[in-house]
Formats: sequence, C-alpha cells, structure tokens
Amino acid sequence: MKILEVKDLSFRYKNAEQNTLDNISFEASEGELILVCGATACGKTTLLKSLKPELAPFGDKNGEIFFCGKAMADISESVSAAQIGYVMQRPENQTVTDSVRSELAFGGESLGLEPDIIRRKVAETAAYFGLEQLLSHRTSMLSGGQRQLLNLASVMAMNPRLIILDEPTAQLDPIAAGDFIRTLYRVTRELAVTVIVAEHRFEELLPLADKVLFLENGKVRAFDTPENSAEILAQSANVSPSLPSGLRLHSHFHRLNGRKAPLTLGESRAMLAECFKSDVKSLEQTAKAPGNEEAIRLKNVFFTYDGSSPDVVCGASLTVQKGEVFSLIGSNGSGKSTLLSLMSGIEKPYRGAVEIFSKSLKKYRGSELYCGLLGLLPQDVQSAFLRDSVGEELQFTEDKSVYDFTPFYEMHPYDLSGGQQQLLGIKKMLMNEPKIVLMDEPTKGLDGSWRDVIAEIILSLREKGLTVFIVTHDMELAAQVSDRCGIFFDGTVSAAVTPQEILSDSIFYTTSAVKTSRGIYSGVCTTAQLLEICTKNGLKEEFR
Amino acid sequence: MKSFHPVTVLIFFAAMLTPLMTVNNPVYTAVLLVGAILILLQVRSGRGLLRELWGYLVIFLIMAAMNPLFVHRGSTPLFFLNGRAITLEAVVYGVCSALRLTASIIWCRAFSLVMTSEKLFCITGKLSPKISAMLTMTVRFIPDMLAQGRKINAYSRTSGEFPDDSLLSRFRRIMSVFSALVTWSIESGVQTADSMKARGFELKGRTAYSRFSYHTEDAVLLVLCIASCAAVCTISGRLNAEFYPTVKYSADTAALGAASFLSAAAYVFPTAFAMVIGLKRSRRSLFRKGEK
Repeated sequence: MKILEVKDLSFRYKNAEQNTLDNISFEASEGELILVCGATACGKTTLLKSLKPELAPFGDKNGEIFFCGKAMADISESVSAAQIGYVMQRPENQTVTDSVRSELAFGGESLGLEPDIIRRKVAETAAYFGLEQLLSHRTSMLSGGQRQLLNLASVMAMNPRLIILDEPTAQLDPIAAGDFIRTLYRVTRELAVTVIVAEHRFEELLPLADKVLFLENGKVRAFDTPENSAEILAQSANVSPSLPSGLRLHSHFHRLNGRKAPLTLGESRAMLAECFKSDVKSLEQTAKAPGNEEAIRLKNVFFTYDGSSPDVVCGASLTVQKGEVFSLIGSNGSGKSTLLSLMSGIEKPYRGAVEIFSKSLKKYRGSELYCGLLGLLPQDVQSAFLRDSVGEELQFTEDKSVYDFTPFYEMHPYDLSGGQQQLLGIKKMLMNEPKIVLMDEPTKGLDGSWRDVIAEIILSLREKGLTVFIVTHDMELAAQVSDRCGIFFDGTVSAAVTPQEILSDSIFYTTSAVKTSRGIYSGVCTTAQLLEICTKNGLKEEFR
Repeated sequence: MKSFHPVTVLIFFAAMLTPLMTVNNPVYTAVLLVGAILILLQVRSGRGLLRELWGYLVIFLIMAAMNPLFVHRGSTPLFFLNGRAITLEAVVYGVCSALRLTASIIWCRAFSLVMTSEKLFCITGKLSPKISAMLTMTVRFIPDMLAQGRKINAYSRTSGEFPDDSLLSRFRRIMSVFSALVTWSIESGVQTADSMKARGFELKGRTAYSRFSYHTEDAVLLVLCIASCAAVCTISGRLNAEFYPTVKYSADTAALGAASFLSAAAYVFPTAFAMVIGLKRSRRSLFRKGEK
C-alpha cells in the first residue's frame, strides 16, 4: 500500500534565486525504509519538512504530495499530527517535558485522548523501546542516545504510519547511532511503519534501506534500491567519502566487470579476495620519528567531579611529543572529554600533575596559557560562539587560511552549515596562534567529505609544527591523521601506539578499510590506502 | 504522604498551614511543630537529616533572640542593654513566634519534598492542560540551559578572547557568555517549538495525563483535613494568647484540646498510614530475602 506519493514537487524560498527543490518525485510503500542522502544544502531538510504539514516551509510550492491516497492539503490536523512523525537532529532540543513518562504522554495529550488510553500507549511504547527502567527519570539526565530513542518513542506512541527523520544520529556516538538505526529498522519490519530518514553517515543504514533517494542540488539523482544507486553515489565527489570502503573500491575499479555492488562487509571481503591479486601484502609505512620535546605530559592524574562518585580519571599518564598528532579513542562517557578539560586547565586534578612544555599547569599565570599556547575546540562547537556574527567572531580578520569566511561575515554563526560551524570553531581556536591544539570530536555530525576537509587541516597544522591532541569516536579520522593513538579506558590511557597497531587488531576500534582487508592485506587503515594497495596488486584477469 | 493524590497533598498542607498562621497559641504551635517534624521524617531520606534539623534549631534561636532585641514593649523588664529594656513579654513572644515560624518552614520544606513537579503538573493539568505543558517545558529547559551555560563559560575562559584578569575584562566575559546563552536558548527554543508542533500541540482539546488516582485513604484524609481546619479556624478566637503589655494566657482549655486533637488526627493519619504500608513493604522484602 502506498503511504506517500510525491509528484513533481518544486519549492522555492521567498527571495531565493533558485529552486531549493526541483521536480522531485518518489513514493513510499507501507513498511519501507527510505534513505535520503546528498551533500550539505542539497535540499534534504526542505524536502523532509515539506512532507510534514506542521513544519512545511513557506515559499512557492508546485507539485503534489499524497499521504495515504489523500492530498496532503486535505488531511486534517489531528491526522497529520498523529500519523506523520518527525524527529530532528539535536536530541536535547526535541524533548519537550521534564520527565520520560510525561514526554511519552505528550502526543496523546495533544490528541485529546482519555488518560486511560494514554496510559496504555505509554506502557506499550516504553516496553517496546526498552524505556521502562527510565520512566521516572528526568529527561535532562538521559544520555544523547537515550534521549533520541525517547524522541522516537514519543512519536511512536501516537501510532504514526510515516516517520520522517532528519539526521537523527548526527549527534550520537557510533554505538548509540547503531542502536538507533537498528531500532528504526525494527519499527519498519515489525510494525510496518514507513520510515524516511536523511543521514549522511549511512554505512550502517545503506544495507538496511529498501530504497535510496539521492538528491543533488534539489534534484533527484537516483531513487532506487541500494545496489543500483550505489554506483551513482560513488560517482558523486561529495557523497563518496561517506561510503564504506567496499563500495568505493567497486566504483574505483569500474564496477569490476559488472559485479554486483557490495553492500555488506561479507560481500566486500569476498569481492576483495576474489577479484584482486595479493602479491603486495602491505604498504610501506613511513613512521615519523618521535620528537624529543614534550608538549603535554600527564603524570598519574586523578580526577572526580564529586567526591562521592567514582573517579572519572584515575592514574592517567601520557606524554605527547611536540609536533605530534595524538588521537584518543574510547567509549562514550568514559571520560575522554574530562581528560581534555584537565589538559586545558578548566578542571584541576586532585592528585597528579599536568605539564605543558615541561611546566606545570599550576605555574601558568592568568590567561598566559590561552594566549599563544593552548587552543581548544569544544565538543559542542556552538558553545564556542560568543558573538552575534561570524565577522565579530573572527575580528574581521583578512586571513583566509582554513576557510574563507569573508562572504559570511554578516551571518550569525548558528546559520552556517554544520561543517562550516566546525571550521569556524577551528579558525577561532587558531586565532591566538597556539602551539598546542586540543580538539574534542572535530568531526561530530559531519559527513565524509567534511571529514576529509578537517583531516587535511589537521595535517597542515602538523606541517606547521603544532602539536595536535584529538579526542574522537571517528576511527577513519584517527587513521587518516594520527601519529599515535591511545585508548581511554577505565580512567587511564592505554596503548599509546601507532594507529595501524590499534586499528588492525581491534574488533570495534577500527575502520571499514581494516575490516574489509583484514587477513588479505595487512597494515591498511584508510580507504585511500586500500585503493592504493589494490591498484598496486591489480585485478585478476577475468575482472578487468 | 507520598502515596496520596496531588490534590489531597495540596489541601493537606494548606489545612496544616492555615491554622498555624491564624492561631497564636504556643501549645497548639508545638503540636503542629511535632506534626511538621513527623511528616518531614516520613518524606525525607536519611542523608544530611541531622544537619538540616540543626539548621532549623539555629533559625529558631536567631528568630527568638531577634524580638526582645528590637522590641521593647512589655511591663516586666529583665535587664537593660544599652539603656533599652529587655522585657519578659518580648522574650516570650519571640520564642512563641519563632516556634511558629520554624514550624511553617518545616511544613513548607516537607511540602516541597512531597510536591514533585509531576504532582504539581497533575494539579495544573486539571486547571489547564496548556499551562501545565508550558510549566513542564520550563522545568525541562532549566537544567539543559544551565549545562549549556557551564559549557560556554568554560570555553570563554580558555578562548583567550578575554586575556587580562581585570574586573572589567571579567565583566565583559560574563556578559558575552550571557548573551551567547540567550541566543542559544532562543535557537533551541525554535527547535523545541517545532517538535511540539509536530506532535500536535496546536490541536484543540488537549487532555492532561497523570498516573495518580483517588483512593479511600485520600477521602479519609481530605475529610480529616477540612474538618480540622474549619473547626480550628472557627474556634481560633478562643485560643489566642496575649503577650503585651503582660503575658495573659487565657486560652479555653477545652477548645485547645479539641483543636490540638483535630489537627493531630489530620497529620497522624497519613503518618500512621505510611508506617503501616511501609511495614508491610519491608516485611515483604524480608520475606523475599528469606526465600532466596
């Protein structure tokens, strides 16, 4: 049964010169999972909002949208509120009420349902999404992943037939994001709810999706099964960096004589083993000689936020050499960011010492440390924006390194795209010409092409002799830029070794290229390296 | 107390505080003070209890000392301080009013512990579901805003934009943190509004969901509260003591006995009820442990 049908939809914002959406047509059946992808500003959000009458943007609209066979303009407000759910990017801004229970009840209250019916809906939704233990919790105490799950659950409590999600996992860590996506998949398969989800990190979503809607400049470039659209995705310069290694390899070698595009890891590995020779087993690595000057040193550091709770950091020791890029990886909530605030002097350890250039943090007076020595990029980059315009943030500098923000000087930082906001944060961080930069999740919420931009900036900082310390969940980034990697676990830093060493024999802390090539080639960490080694080996005869 | 319906809770505390405010009789005040402490013990977890009780004692002592130091009415001077008489009447009045004040503080404290935001929204939800929704949004937003404020503040300290430590520079920093926080609040408010619209907040005929229901014990407590409050307020004229110019305790013993009994009954009932329920619960948990 057709749930949604979009026919020749075009949309133009008032005062805009171009159509944001141009002749878009697609349809969705009951229980389908549709992935919407495309580069930043391709019209994803405008399209998704147009599908939800309450949030539809104002402007010139042409074309038709049908929901369950009825024109969207004719469906009643209560039907659209109940049957079309909408979930956005930032989990914390979407929770309306203060407790999990009342959040789940919110939709039912809006519909004017009887308290007994609401109670039943709350009960079954909480059970289905595993939120029963959290019912009495304050929403502000939940983690990002739990909060986003709650947002989905509160929409589900209204019995929707269609759920629209706009980058729901962008702010989540990889494990929470994976859980969320699997829950979405379950909803489509078990409850026959149609799901339309825009996502720019879709490695996990791609094999699960029924259809992929690929937008480029407001036009539909592809609307087909993942197998068939993979090739078109891989050809787009903006989207291909977000694709898993197998697909990029497949496209790089011109579809390997008509072989089916590999969507899962197993298919990718089979492709690698069957199609490529394996004469060259590994790439030559040019390990950087470690410097001999210490930039950051942690000596047996202990820290707790509150005396009665367990230590967040207990006995962490670490040395980062000058001119080195060091990535710290580790699970969510393990205290990585806390370690960063200890290094930057925001928090103080109750035992042990932090040294910057062999001088204890305590001995730096006033803001000496922050003017020309340390630069910090916070995890939530929006907390770094203290002024009302981009120009003021950058003190109207003429400097065009990192990114040329001159055309955006009049804009408010919040109106920039996610990637631009991140770059603005980085540029602000570099304004005082620091010698050490500390970055907390620099690629959070960004797609593959922005990740490449940021990786390049980090490498250029290293060229200039800066010391870079990164805290990240993004293994791809860690593989691309770091000289050394450490894992933060149980309050301490373990295994400060090269990224190859960590990534190549980890199960979770690893990249798609490692997973694809493990056992076939060794020491391959990034997709670029995988492409390189495959080129060196060459294809077997029959696949040329 | 916690197991009662929010409306019952509200009326109970009103019924306890009203006579406390209207009747000025030390014996009756003492009866209510005992009640306040009983209810407080019942709703409060044990941690830091002693320190809190100490705090009330300090408040009591300060309030009791204040009156004779500043009020010099009364006909029985005890001694002179800086040429001003400290009178017996002022001391007695000070002690009595400090007792009332302390009792009211403890009652209010117990009320704030029992009346969780969820219970409060149940009451406001009965009056207006929309207002109730707005209140719960505000309560939700405050912790998020504080967390964001802390983040911005931490960043502003390390950004190097406010280099010197002078008072002026510090003031500028705080101001820009504040303005950034306001912008953030508006921005996130827009998204919250979208999320509410998407879930039909603008529809007519909103209902309010609460998981509380009335039971027999609610009815019993309501009858006790209203009866005692009404009775005490009617006879309050016969209870009041006079302090100036001389202390004259002319309260009607029968009326005092009746008032104390009624009020005590009103607060003893929920206490006894909670105790019985609590005993049954703990017996159950003991039994369960034995089973394992």
